[in-house]
Amino acid sequence: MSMLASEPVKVAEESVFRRVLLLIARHRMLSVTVLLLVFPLFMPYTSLAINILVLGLYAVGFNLMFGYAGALSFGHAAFLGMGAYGCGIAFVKFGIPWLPSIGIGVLVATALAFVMGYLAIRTRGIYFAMVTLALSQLVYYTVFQARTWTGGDDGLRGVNLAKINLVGFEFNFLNPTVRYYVIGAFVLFALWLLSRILESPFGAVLEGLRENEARARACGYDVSRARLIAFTLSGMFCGLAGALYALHLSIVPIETLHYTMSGLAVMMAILGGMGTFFGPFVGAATILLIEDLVSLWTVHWQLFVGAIFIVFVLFFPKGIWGSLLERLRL
Amino acid sequence: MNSDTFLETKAVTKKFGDFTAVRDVSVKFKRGELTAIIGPNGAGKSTYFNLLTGAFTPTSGEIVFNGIDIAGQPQHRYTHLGIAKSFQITTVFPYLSVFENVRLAAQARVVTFDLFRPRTAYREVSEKADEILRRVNLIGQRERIAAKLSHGEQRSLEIGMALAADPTLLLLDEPTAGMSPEETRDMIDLIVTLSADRTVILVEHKMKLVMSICKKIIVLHQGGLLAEGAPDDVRHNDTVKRVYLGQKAV
Repeated sequence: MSMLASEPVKVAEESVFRRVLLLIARHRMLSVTVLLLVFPLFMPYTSLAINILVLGLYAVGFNLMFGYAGALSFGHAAFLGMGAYGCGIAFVKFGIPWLPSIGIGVLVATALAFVMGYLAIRTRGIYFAMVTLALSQLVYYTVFQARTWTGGDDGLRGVNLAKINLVGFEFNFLNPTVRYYVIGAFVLFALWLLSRILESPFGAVLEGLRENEARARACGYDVSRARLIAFTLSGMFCGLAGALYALHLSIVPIETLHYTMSGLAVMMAILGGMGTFFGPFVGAATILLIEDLVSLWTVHWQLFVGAIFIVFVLFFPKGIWGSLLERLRL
Repeated sequence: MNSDTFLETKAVTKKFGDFTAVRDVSVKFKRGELTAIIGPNGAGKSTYFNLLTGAFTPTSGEIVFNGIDIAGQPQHRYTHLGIAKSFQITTVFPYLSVFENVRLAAQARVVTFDLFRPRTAYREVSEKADEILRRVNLIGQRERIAAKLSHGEQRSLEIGMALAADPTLLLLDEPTAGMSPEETRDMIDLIVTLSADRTVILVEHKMKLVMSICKKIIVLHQGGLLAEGAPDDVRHNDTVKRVYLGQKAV
């Protein structure tokens, strides 16, 4: 009797859940805005929320090349890093205000992405991954050696932004909540831009590249050029993430450029769901939350992330968000 | 060049290392003439076809289309010149909808690098895609994922995608391969209809089929041109009979 009574309730719950997810997937900019506004409330502390925001954007940028254009890069740390160093060096060494400094970081990363893309774009599959990895290692060692500019292995220190002026108001950037919403505004803008790109004719070409490159070429698309533009845009988003990261951390650690950072992007995108709009964010949140919670009682938190990652690759290759979306369509 | 010659290969040769797959083939294709390229296995049909589509660059010789030598142009340029092809093995965009497959193909000649307007803003592209879907009888499958179509439907979709580029020259590589008899009949009807307003060249194994619908047959053998002409001339050509048709009653 009680079983019978509980049945309809469960169905109703499921359909509400389903409806909410459908709503999120359909109105992505609206849901992203709402989510960004309330996100810190669900996090143990605001600084973690900012980390998720910034690294989520990094994974989103990576996913543009990986999930949408279908090419696995193993060198995206270079764009995150150059965005961070570009912004940091402009701010610390040249005393340029923070807003243009962000712009400089983005520009440096975008230019680097164009050059790296130009060199790597003709290769495919594992070779593309290797070439991008090698080029990003080149960037890593160059920055590592250029101590006077970058601080070498100590990282670039002193990216201290205390007060910012926006539309006539002064904000205290040291306040985590203020910092969250300022950085959140940038992330929101980036996601809006990305959403436009994905909806555009060029976004359709990217899907075509991922689905069947030979077909895309036969349709009359200049595949190399499209891939290069996608790679450059991908670097641009990662560069913005890097610039924001520098301002958030007040320092640019050399690890930003390390190849494990490139690996992190791959993991976040796959765990969350490659080729989906929200997937990389879900992946970033999952990994960073696990790191935060598990590292309280063991230093081997990566073991947990690794185990979860393996389970997903084996049983839910579409990732957390991708699997949820798949459920909805059935 | 003769004014109704639309496409011409002048002494084209394609070598792969020491192996010569196509040797010195000179053929003129007339505008609007449904032409078939035939030949036994290993005759160089597919290589010759791929030279026409731009997938391969000839080792020597010229491919003249509308008066210009197009040999060696990058493949994506071919679509913009008005040449479209279907593949021997069905290749569509498997996880896009049927509509999006054709829409994306139709978009190629209109816009590639617009990053900001929504793709739906290009009404003419969407309308064209729907028009083509009606033409290849797939309008009822519009929202389905391409991978879920039957083999015959996927071949029709592929032809639809080739048509979306408004080609003046349509190249079909074994369009009825692997099809059931009914699907084959539908495909033949479609090809005949299509050849009414554009030049169609196809590579085909099914002899009866090409003999009944084509105006001109080109026979390749061991990489070289063996014979060309109307189906009846080719059928009665002694060399052709000996090397190729002799095996089957035609």
